[in-house]
Amino acid sequence: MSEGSVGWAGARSQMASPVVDAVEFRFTCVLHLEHGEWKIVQWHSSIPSTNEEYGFFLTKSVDDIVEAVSESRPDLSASSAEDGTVTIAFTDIEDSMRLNAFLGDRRWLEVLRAHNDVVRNVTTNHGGTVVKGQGDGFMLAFPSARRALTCSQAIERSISETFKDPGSPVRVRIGLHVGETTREADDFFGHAVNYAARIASSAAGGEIVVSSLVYGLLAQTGEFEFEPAREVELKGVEGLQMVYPLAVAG
Amino acid sequence: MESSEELRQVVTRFFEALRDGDEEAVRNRVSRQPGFERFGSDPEEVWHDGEAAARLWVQQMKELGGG
Repeated sequence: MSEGSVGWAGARSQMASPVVDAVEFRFTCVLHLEHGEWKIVQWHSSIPSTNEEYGFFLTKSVDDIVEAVSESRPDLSASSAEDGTVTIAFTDIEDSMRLNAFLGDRRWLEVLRAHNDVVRNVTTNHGGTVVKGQGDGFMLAFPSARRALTCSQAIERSISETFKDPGSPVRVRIGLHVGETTREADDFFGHAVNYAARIASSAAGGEIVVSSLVYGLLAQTGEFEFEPAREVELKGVEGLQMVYPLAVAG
Repeated sequence: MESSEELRQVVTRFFEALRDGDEEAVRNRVSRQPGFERFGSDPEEVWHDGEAAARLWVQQMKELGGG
């Protein structure tokens, strides 16, 4: 619309970024005719959803990753040990919905980018594979439990260094589990992936927690120190499960 | 007050410039006159300076992979 040298417009549209697939937004603007050219003199854009919905969109990533991986069943042969086992790690920023609300969308996206860079780079440097990353969550795969746990420690260290402000609320929780992909693909994608994600969800921020299978593989080496086992309920898994927190994450 | 096809095209071209990474077109569309205002969805996202807002649009355009 316009009247004389003043005009205005508004619409809903979509934007995409490397972090968020697509976000709908709306805008209104006022334009002014300056030396024969329309110039923006006021612009207001917002996301047409509640903050809770937007936070949920950015933070429901682990469930989405489990669902996507279970459906697509990516080839993990490059991450398999000789016996066909793959160690899976899920990483997730603790309380990210609240963090998003606290930091605001712009700062939150900056945090996500820095966090994502850390997870991707450290994983690659430790010979792991980023199976899928979405929002603030990642699924990683390794050919050995030892390598997965060493990498998890390095991720925690690097996150601490990247967000080294003592008041920084960015804390990453990590869960590890091991499964067999070659002969037990149904069980792996139907159960093991979900189990690893639930173990990650049981961890506190800054904590690395492993399943009893991973614990059995690593405890005897004496290379890692674990806290006493915890009994936890895992969503979608019957009965109490034993999980083992690493004594010092980093 | 009347509907303006010209303004519809101006705004459409602005979004196309953001999509295509046309930094000059983005910068040129923003007024530097006093009274400029840009608001984002976050409470801290308020700019009263056209030059700063234009720089931010270009930065965001690059981060979003414009061009």
